[in-house]
Amino acid sequence: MNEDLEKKLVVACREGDRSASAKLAKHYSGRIYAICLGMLRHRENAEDIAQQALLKALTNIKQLRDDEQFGSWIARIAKNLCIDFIRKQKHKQNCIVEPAAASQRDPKEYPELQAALAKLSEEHRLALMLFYFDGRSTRNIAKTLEISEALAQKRLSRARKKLRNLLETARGV
Amino acid sequence: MKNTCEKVRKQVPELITGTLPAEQVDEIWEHLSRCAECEAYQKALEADDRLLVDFAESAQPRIQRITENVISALEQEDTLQEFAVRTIKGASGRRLSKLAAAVIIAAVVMILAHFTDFFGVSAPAYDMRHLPRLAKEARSVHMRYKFYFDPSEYGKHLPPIPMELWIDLSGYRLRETYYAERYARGKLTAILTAEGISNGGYFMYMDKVEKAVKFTRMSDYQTMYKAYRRLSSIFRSYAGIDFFRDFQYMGREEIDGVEYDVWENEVQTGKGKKKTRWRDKYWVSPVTHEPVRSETWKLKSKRKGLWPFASGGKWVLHCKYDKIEWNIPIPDEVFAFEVPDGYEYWSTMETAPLTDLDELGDMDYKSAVLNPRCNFTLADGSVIMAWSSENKPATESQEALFKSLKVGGDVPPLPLEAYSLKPYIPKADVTYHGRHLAYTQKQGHFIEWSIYVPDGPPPKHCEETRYEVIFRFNYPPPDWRTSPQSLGDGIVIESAEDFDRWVLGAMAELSDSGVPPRDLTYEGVLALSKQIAYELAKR
Repeated sequence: MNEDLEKKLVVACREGDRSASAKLAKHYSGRIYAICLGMLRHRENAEDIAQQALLKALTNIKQLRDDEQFGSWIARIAKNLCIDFIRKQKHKQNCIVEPAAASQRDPKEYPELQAALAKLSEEHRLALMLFYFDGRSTRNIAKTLEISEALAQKRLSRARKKLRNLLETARGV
Repeated sequence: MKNTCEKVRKQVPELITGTLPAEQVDEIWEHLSRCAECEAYQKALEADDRLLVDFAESAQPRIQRITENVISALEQEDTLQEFAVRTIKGASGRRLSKLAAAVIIAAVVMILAHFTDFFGVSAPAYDMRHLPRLAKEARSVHMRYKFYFDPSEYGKHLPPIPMELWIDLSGYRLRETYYAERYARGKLTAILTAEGISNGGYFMYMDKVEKAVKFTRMSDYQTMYKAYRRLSSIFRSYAGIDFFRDFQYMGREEIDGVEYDVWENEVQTGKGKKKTRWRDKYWVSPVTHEPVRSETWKLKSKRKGLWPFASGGKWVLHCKYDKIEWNIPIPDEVFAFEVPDGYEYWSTMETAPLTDLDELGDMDYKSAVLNPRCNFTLADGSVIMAWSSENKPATESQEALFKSLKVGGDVPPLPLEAYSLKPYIPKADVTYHGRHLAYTQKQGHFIEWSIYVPDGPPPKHCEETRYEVIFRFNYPPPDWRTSPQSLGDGIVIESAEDFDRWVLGAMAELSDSGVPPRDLTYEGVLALSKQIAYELAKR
């Protein structure tokens, strides 16, 4: 989605146009899910929190000051909700959220991949998730994480290398 | 592995993700066609790429479900609102009693309240502990605030001083108002206001009382460090993160037609007669969790010298932030060096002296000086601090002392030796033991880079912890009783990128060669810290 169209949708959404809200929800759901999955490492929880984040942003869009910053604004909302969720879980269980067990329908590599992803640092995991879930674009990573494109590229590159090492170790290569 | 292979493997991830510059692609493919090992590495990364693509694709039904649920929830909200409007209109059309209409309105409000709860709006699911992180992660901030003076403390009524802070991390620019109180014989004689602007490698200090300006030059690193440190220091004026944990939710208030969550906390500082109680109130966006306004109140004693509660004290306004804006575009004019006519130049941009990375202040004794330069907190809780110490006047070369140091061994026995750190936390039963990590040389001075590793679990929120530098006198006899030197919480290093940017950057900055010592990596330093912690545990 180009920036002009996004801005128009944000304005329309603020004025109560639900079809604009739906378009924004559709466009951002992958990105927001990627952020939540990157932070929570748990697919069901990530789905719940992504849903909450999108709803919270779209129902409170009047509080957005700069229409051009919708992407980073909604990303911050998602991050805040993830932090709250982790804190609540810690409080409840006194332990961190563990990655969910793989579904039986998953290919056999997924548990291995998920275990390796869980061992990455949060910033590396986020870079990978955003790249693969949100249009393979380093520009999107940069915009979402509010960093430069060069840094996003560097982070992605490092994440790929670390993931390779972790997968190799897991496979005993 | 050959150098070329190493270089190529660094670029293979970018080749796979299609982010490698076009002019390098042919070169890499050419090498891959000749080197079987690198080709195998490239193939393995390609397989990872396919796996990640499949993994992302397998999540598409879930992502679609998220979209559908969000759209349906938005529609439900519309239906509810329409229902509320229709019901009220219908009720009035049939001339129901006012009481019946009120009951219907209340019911609809309750249903809506239930839904807004579902959206997480009314009952905050967050607390205030996110504020330091919010400041650290912000791209820009603008704060407009006022300081109020207590007449009983200053002996006269003084108008509040307007202050402002602008920070833009995209260009590492900063503009800030300062104020200082000048005393003579214990009496306040003047309030000094000044403005500081950091932009493009220069820092301009404008003294509005003396009507004078002073320029200093800063390296790129210092410019970046200054803006980042200032931004991350907002919200750190109190006793660490626990202060934010204790905030109580007070409900909602409206500002300019928008509702905000209101949070309050009270904290006590000082001892004996200096004991003071403070109340902080924040207005926070329920959506972004960003504070937009805040006030600090002070509990004042009605009778001098008495603890306020004992004398039925009253709360007086101490500081009010009436505008706090986050991540907004800041116009370039804000950071322009504009000097009003008639101001005297203590130094110009042409004559501006270059400043050194040295923000922590000296411990200056009659015969020697200890100078902590900067510090960083690693993810495992250990601390890296750069420091130097010399006799006054510095007569002997310290070269022999530094050449014989071993990484992980004792810190150098300089005139004042900063051998450990203690966290500024009541009852913290942990000491950080200093070990040598590296050294640099700048303009004839040797700078020690020590790593301080805790001998037990570090404080829970070590990223917000301040420290006391523990040091001993080596060659000079102690000339008076030493008072502790405090060390602020350093920039938090959570990744190799942070390490390269901030720690190696500072080492390069404090080195004549402009490059950091070789072979220092984040992983290596963490491994060293682990080894030191293991040795400390064995003792």
